Amino acid sequence: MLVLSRHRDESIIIGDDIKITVVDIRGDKVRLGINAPVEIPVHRQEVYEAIQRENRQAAQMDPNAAREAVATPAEPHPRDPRPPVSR
Amino acid sequence: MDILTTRFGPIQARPQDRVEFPKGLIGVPHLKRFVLLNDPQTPRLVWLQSTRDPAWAFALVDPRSVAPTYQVRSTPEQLQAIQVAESRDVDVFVTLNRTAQSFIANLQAPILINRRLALGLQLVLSDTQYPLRQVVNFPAALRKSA
Repeated sequence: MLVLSRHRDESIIIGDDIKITVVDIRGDKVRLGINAPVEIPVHRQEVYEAIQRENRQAAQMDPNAAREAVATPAEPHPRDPRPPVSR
Repeated sequence: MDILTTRFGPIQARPQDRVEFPKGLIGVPHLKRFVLLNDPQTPRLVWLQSTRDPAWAFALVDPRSVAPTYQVRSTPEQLQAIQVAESRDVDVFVTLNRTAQSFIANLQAPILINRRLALGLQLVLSDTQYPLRQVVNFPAALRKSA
């Protein structure tokens, strides 16, 4: 692994269009600013790994289990009229 | 288009059922081509079936059936990845899964699909209250229509 030392407000450049800046350092916590093209997804590692695990498990879902899930009873609730995607 | 599936046997998918995920799903970048299939028995249950791996299929539901006020906050740049100009042009789904005790839905990483262009994307909602593993309780109204 390449290891570089950086002060606050200093950056590293990866390739031509990814820039990572040390925004703040407090105790054992570092805040990083990341500038990357939108087609390069950036995730916290533990979040990425958790979603990967979840995806791999979810892809094994059994049809009858899924049907049973949709049939699990609960109280009805009102629908939200707003579209589900906003900016 | 003939597709082999472990769950539904060999199926005939219509061209309009195809969806391409240019980036694959999160942590699963090699699976890019899928078809969207309505469950043959249960309305409102949709399957995202890989056309490459017969064993890979995700059970999808409307997130509003799990969390009635569910809202995806996305940037125009994120929506650009599936060439969505208007947020109303995108269908939003979440994947179902199960634990030993209950059924769960992944509200943290919804699946967005531009049906018109057959493009899909899995988004990560960081900094929201939506959990990766939300216990599911479908409303009776949904059950009735199912």
